[in-house]
Parts: sequence; structure tokens; C-alpha cells
Amino acid sequence: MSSAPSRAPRERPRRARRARRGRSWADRLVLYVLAAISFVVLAGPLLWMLSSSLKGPGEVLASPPTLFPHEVRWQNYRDVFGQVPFARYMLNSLLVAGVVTVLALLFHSMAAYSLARLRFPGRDRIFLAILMTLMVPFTVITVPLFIIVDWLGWVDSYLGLIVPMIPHAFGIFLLRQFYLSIPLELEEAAIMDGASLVGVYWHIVLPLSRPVLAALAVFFFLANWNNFLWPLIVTQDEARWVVQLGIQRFTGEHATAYNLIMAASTCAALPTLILFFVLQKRLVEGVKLTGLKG
Amino acid sequence: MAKQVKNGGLTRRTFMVRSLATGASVAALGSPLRAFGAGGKVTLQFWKFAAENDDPVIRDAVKRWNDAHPDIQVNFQTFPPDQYHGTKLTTAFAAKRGPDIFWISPGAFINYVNNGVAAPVDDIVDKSAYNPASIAAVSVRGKMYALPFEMEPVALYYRKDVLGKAGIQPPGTWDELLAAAKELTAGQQKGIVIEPAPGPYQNFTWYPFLWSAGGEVVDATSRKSALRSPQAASAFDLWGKLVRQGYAPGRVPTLTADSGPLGRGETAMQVCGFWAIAQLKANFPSVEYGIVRIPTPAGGKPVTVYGGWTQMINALGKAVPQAEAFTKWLWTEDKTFPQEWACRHNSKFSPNNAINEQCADVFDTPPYSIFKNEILPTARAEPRYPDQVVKAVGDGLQAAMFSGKSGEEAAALAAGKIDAYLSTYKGAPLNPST
Amino acid sequence: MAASVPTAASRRPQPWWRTQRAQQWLVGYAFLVPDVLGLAVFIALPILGAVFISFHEWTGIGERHWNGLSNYATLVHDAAFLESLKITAIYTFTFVPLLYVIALALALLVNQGLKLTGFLRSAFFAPYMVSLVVASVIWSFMLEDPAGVINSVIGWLGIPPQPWLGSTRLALTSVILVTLWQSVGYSMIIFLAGLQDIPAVYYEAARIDGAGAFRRFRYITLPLLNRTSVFVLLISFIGAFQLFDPIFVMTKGGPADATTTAVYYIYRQAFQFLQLGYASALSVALFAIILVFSLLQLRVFRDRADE
Repeated sequence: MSSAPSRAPRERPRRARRARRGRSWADRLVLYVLAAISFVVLAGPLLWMLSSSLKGPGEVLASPPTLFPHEVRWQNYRDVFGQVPFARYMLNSLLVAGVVTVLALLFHSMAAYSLARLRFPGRDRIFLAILMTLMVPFTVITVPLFIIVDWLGWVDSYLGLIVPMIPHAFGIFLLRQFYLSIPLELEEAAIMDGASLVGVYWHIVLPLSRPVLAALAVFFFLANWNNFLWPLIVTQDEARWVVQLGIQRFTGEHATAYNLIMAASTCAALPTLILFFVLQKRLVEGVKLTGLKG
Repeated sequence: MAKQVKNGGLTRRTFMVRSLATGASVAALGSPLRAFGAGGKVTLQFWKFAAENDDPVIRDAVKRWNDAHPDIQVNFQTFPPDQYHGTKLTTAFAAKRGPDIFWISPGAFINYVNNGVAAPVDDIVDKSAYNPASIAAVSVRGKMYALPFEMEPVALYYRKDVLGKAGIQPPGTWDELLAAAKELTAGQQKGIVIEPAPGPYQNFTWYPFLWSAGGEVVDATSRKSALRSPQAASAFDLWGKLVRQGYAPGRVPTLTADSGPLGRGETAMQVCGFWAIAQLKANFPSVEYGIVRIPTPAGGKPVTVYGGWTQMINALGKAVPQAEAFTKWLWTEDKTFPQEWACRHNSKFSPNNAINEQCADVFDTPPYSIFKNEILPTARAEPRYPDQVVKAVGDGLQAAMFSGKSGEEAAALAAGKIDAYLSTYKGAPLNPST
Repeated sequence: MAASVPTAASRRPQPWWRTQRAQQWLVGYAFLVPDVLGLAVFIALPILGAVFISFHEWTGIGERHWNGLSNYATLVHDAAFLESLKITAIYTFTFVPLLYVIALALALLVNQGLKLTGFLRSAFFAPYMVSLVVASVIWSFMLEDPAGVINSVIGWLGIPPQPWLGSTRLALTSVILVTLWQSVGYSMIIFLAGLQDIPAVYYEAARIDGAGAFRRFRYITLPLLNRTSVFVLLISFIGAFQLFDPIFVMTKGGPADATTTAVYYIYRQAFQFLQLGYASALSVALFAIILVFSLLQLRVFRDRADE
């Protein structure tokens, strides 16, 4: 299916090597300029967010906008944590996003293993049904979901924040792709040796999935860390608020403290940014292994 | 934290048992006083939208109540303003988990009354001491369904320095307004700021213009729209002109309830409310500004609008008498809170004349006195139109401002939608009975 | 059911649950239980709930009233809903190709082995760290007219300030800008992985054969990225059709309903107009549309890729 050239490389290695290494300085310059422009466009607004988080309430809305704050107001950050229990919100978010991620990874890998490797009636139809759940906008199910969670008694509880967010077709989809692309030999050998299917899953397949799981961990953690609507609906007491709700606390009736919103947003974005920076190699490796290439 | 996760099921059972017991004891007794003796602790949920400037005052009052009433505890929670009415309250009520006491805007008021959620509050207040228009605004067929507690009229603020430098008098008529706005639009500065974003606030600040031209949104029977009139068309046209000609911005990043644009000099004039006095004092203390009535068309009567939230009690709640007791205490019995809310912490007129008198030391000094003497007397209560009507009017305004429609076309557009909606509307009359 | 490989274990007489086939069934279903149960209770059941509500008239705060197919009859004549679908379609079919192109371009850029690759990768992915709500707040300031950052920048290029969020013409473009900014890093990572999986020998061979950069891209890179492409296109398509947050934060559907997407229209019907029944009927219609389009997409690409 791919149209890769099937001819063997001809016998001109020296010239090929020179051509490959010698990218002209003009080309390099263009690439660096493109990289710089992309950096400004993509990271610029975030730097502006950071700079606005240190401005006074008047300056943040100043028009024309200032690049650097006239006087750096670290007080904003003190206000964010002082006026509302923002640290508590971050802990709540950490708990919710963390637990959801761990459980989701476990359950999704189980489901994906089952859908990729095992045979039982209705398997493919179940997979299709699972995929279809991706197509439902959350607004649609908000009210019925809340009624169900209320019936379960989980309103305004960590259970209500965590459990409904665990099932997600995306993770099942990705992991199934990955498992489909692993060669069967390892597992078959283990089965020959008398290992149970559960054993194969736990001792072979799961460890193999570590890179993919790392990739999914970042995606799930981010999605739940940035989640706003469901936590708003299901919590009633601010003791269980999460970080995205906390950011909205600084919206006022007649005026909004945008400098505080920027400061709160920076606090909210930092942990995930650090997480990504640390895990990014694993992330790319993991995505590679899902067998998404052509 | 962990305990809640593990004992989720236990919590539910306990909750159900407790609420059954509470419900039984409340149902068995009548007045809140007798409920104290029943020995079951009641926790009332008191919800409002988040407003970090104001909420500490309310929290203090709630704490005072909680300290004095160990049997009736009030849990005060606030939610992001944008989602408060729409998403939060609606989903809570849809699951029969609405709060016991909550603040409600004029627009949402009628939906809650129509659906039987509002408990009558006539017994809580002495109506004779209250401004009749405020009472009428929350009354349906003679019964009050929410407690009004604030009146925030709308006026035209202007920069004395900017107008002074250009030698322009603050406008009194629409023609003067257009001329002033045109002349004061230069460079980065706009002549006037009016609300360009669709929604209740845009309508709210536009009604004075409609009314001073003699127009009305719905007719006296509340069954048909009254916008197909030249008066209404002229009001749509005025706002359309201001934005289309560039004298007013088509987009402001904040809601124009924020007087920031005026304070920062981005505009020479701004339509804003009573609350702006406190804002400007806090954020722009050195800016010199003036306040005049909303300009009228030639020969029109000065009229403006006042808005304000009201406190509603959930008729389907499990502790209605206790909720009434708390509401009554908060706004009529407590010695400090009503006054704090009106003038010590904020600037909001109270519909309770006694409170306004207590605040005379503040309200009689300029610039508050301008509102008290010149603006408030001309103010009508914010209409209680449901969102469909609000959107219809908003569509007319948007058409005039952004789609190049004439005032007549905009008015016809809005009128058509309102008529379509009202033809199937079966509920309390939109116009309050006087 | 495929015949199982006869093993030493299966030749001995054993209880029925030890057979290969039974094991596959048992473990197969058992492993599916947590997720399928979760999806059933927290997504499928609410969907059924929404369908149930769609046959009623319900304000949410009051009682439900059965009205049969009345909501669906209204829906068919709802010009405003149709308009919102149109706007959603315009948004989707502009956003998805742009996202594809820009994400791929960024991935190619990062893959060139320039200095600071890790740093660049993080910088390009960083917008995805902030929620779409926060991104919308940031951008609504940057798009301010006349003196926001964007207008200042294009001012240097001699372009007059544009009313980004204040004109019906440009509002949807601004929304596209914001969502592109926020989500391009995510797709870039996926493309990056796909690119790095292509063996370098292919490129070397092509270079030796004299193929220029463009031909290499067209005949090696693109085909080998096929599965990645399908994935990115499908996921971004499904997401684009459900666009909500930036509209809610930046434009509230305006100006003059120019940015009222289908989901925002449904939100307005449900939570502002308190027409939960009608909103549910609209949601069913939207779901059906997304489903049909997604299946079509899969079918088109299935012919070119193997599932």
C-alpha cells in the first residue's frame, strides 16, 4: 500500500552523505525563522497570560496592552490563594484527575485487551457501540447524568466527581489499536506454557503497554484537570471544587478581576506543563507504538 | 476525604434517613419557632452567584445567624455567574435538588413562579414600608414570590475632563447624544460605551431608551408585542447608529457593567449603573466624572430602569418555614446586614424606605445624591421577561448594530419572535400588575 | 468462533470453564465489565434519558409533560437550528483541514532536528495545557479592537485594526483561530510520532534517486502517515462538531448569532429557554448527524487503509 521505492540504494554513498548533511544555511535559516514564528504564535499568548498575572487590576485591561507589567504584583498570587481556598481546589483536582487517570488506564487496557485479543460473541458490535459514545456532546447528557448520579447518592462527593469520568471510548480505541499491532508470539508462547489469559494480560501485555499508557496518562490527566462543566454540576459545596471552578470565582457581578483570573490560570496550567515537560519523550514514544502510522 | 470515597454508600443512607426525619418533623410542625424544639438539625442551602467583592459581607451575616441558631444552619454557596442561572440552578432543580434559598434575576423570576417553585413571601415583609414598584415587580396576582432587596438605577456617566476639553455639554436629547458621541470619537477613544454583547444586560441598559421614546416591549395585556411602533423603531435605530457609525465599540472584552472603559479613558461616556460609583471610587479615584439622566428623544419623558436581584424561597424545599425565618432575619431583623448591603459596603438603594433613611449620610452626598434625587425617581423596575423575549429583543438590537438593519426592520424582527413565543405562553403575566 | 490451538492442557478432560473457548468468553466479558458498565451507566443511560426527555415538554424546574413527537415536528421546521448546523459545518470544514495542515507542518518542523527540539515541542504543546475556557479568556483580550495585541501586530504590517469579535464577518474566524491555537499541539504530537516511525532509509533511497523534498513528502511521508491522518481527522472532526466553550466565553453566539453552533444552540434551548425536551430532541438529531458523517468518513478511509 505504501509507495516506498523498492529499488535498492544505488552505489553512490559518498555523494548521498554529502547531500544529506549539507543542508544549506539558507534552508536552516528559514527553518529557524519558522520555528521562531511558531513559538511566538503558540507560546506568546501564554507568556502574555503570565505577564498579565502580575499586573494590577487597572493595567490588565489597559488598552493598548502592555507587554511587561509596570510594577510586578506578586500580591496577585497571594490573593488567589488568600481570597479563595485555591490550594484546596488544586488538591481536589489532583485527587480527581489522578484517580481517574489510574483507574481509566487500568480499565481501558483490560477492555482493549479483551477487544483486541479475545474472541467472544458480539465483540465487534460492542466495540462499535463503544466508539459511538464519543459522538455525544456533554451538554446533551448533563441533566440525565446528574439525575442518575443523584439517584446513586453521589452528588457533591468525590465519587460523583471521579467515577462518571472514568469510562471513555478514546482510551479503549487507542489501546486496542496498540494491542492489535503487537506480534502474537509472546502471548502464544506464554499460553503454551500454561499461563492463563489473565496472567498473559498482567505479566506480558500490560508491561509492554507502558509507553502507550504514559501517553494516555498525559491526555487523561489533562482532560480531567481542565474539566469544568461536570464538576460545576455535581458539586454543591466549595470544599469539593476543582481548579477550573476556582478560576471562575474571580468573576464578579459587575466587574471581574482579570489579573487574578490570569494568576489563577497560571497556577492551574503550571503542574500540567511540568508534567508534560517531564514525560514528553515517553509521550511521543507511546503514541508511536499505537500503530497509528500508515 | 478518603473517608467520603470509601463510605459513599453509607453517606447516602444517612442522608436519606436524616432528610426523612427532618421532613417529618418539619411537616408536623408549623412555625419555625416550634421546629426548634423538635430536636432535628436543619441545614438550609443558600445559593447565589459568585461576587468576591460582596460575598464576604454575606458570609459574615450567615455566620452570625449560624452562631445564634444551632438548630438551623445555613450553608452559603456561590457559583460562577455565567453558569449560575442556566446550568447550575436548572440541573439542580431538574434532579429535585434545588437550594432552599437562592437569588434570582428578574428574567428568571417568572419561570420559577410559573413552575411552582417560588414560595409566597408576603408574610415576611411589611409591604407598606416598601417601594410599591419593587413589590409589584415580584408579585403575581397579588402575592409576592420573592423578596426584593436592592435597586440599582442606570444613568449616563461621562468624563468631565474629556467633555470639558471639547467644550461639550452633557447630552440631554438623542440628537445631542449622537452629536457628542460623534465628536468625542477620536483615535483610540470612543464617544460612548453601550453594551454590544447580547444578553439580559444589553436589554436592561437599552430599556430606558425604548421607554423614553414611548415604546414598550409587550402591550398592556402581555399577550402581544408592542414593538411594531415608530417609537420602538427609533430606539433600535439609535443604538444601531451608535455602533455602526463607530461612536460606540462593537465589542468590549468585559461586560459594560464594568466602568473600566470610562475610568481608563477608552470612552468619553458610558451607560452604567449605581454600582459604578463604588467601582470608580476604588479603581479610579482621581478621575472626575459626571452623571446625568439617560438622554431622551425630543419631547420625551426622562425615564430609566433599575435592576436588582431578589431572594426566592424554594416551595419544594424540605424546610420552607426555616428558610422564611432566615430570609426575614437577613433583610428585616438583623441590625447590620441590610444597611451594610445598601450603603456601607456597596452602593445599592433599598426598596425598604427605612434602610434608605438609615443610609442618608451616604446617599445624600454627591455623587450618590444625584442618583437619589434625579435618577431614582424616574426609574422603572427591570421587566421580568423570560429569556425567549430577552433574546428576541436582543436579536433586534444585534440586527440594528451588526447586520445593517434599519430600526423598523429590527423592531419587526423582534416583534415577530415575541409574538410567536407569546402565542403559546401560558403563565403569569409578563407585566407586573400595579 | 475460531478453533483454538490444541494444547497439552486442553487434551485432558477438564471442567467446562477451563476450555480455551470458555476462557476467552469469560475473560473477554469480564475484562469488559468495568468500562462497559461505566459507559452504560454514565453515557448510554443518560443518552436514553435524553431520548426519553425528547418526547416531553420539560422546563427542568417544573414537571414533565408528554408530548410525543411534537418536539421532532418542530425541529424539522426550525430554521435557526438549521442555521446553527450550517455554522457548525462551516466551522468544522474550515477548522479540520487547517488543523491537519498546521499540525503536520509543525510536526515536520520539530522533526528537522533543530536545536532545542524538546523545548520547541513543549512550547508547541503548551497551549493545550490551558483549558479551552482559559484560552478563550486570554484570546478575547488579545483580539480586542482597536488596541488588542493582534491588532497592534497587524498594525505593524500596515493592516488597519479589525473588529475580530465585533463583526459577524470575522467572529467565526476568531473562534477558529482560538481553537486552532489551543489544539494544534495535540495533533502535532500524534503526527510527530507517526513521522518518527518512518524509517530513514526510505528517505535516503529517495534522495539518492534524486527525488526533491516535495516528492519525498508526497510519495513517502503522506502515504506512510495514512493511519495517523485518519485518526487525527476523525478525532478533530468529532470534536469540532461539538464546539462550545469558546462560543460561551467569547461571543455567546453573537454577534447576531453569527457564531451560534449546534451545541451552543442546544445549550441555549436547554438552559436559557428552559426547553429541556426540545433541546433533547435537537441533541438526538445532532448525534444522528455526527454518527452518519463519522461512519462515512470511516468508510471512505477504510478503502485506503486497513482497519
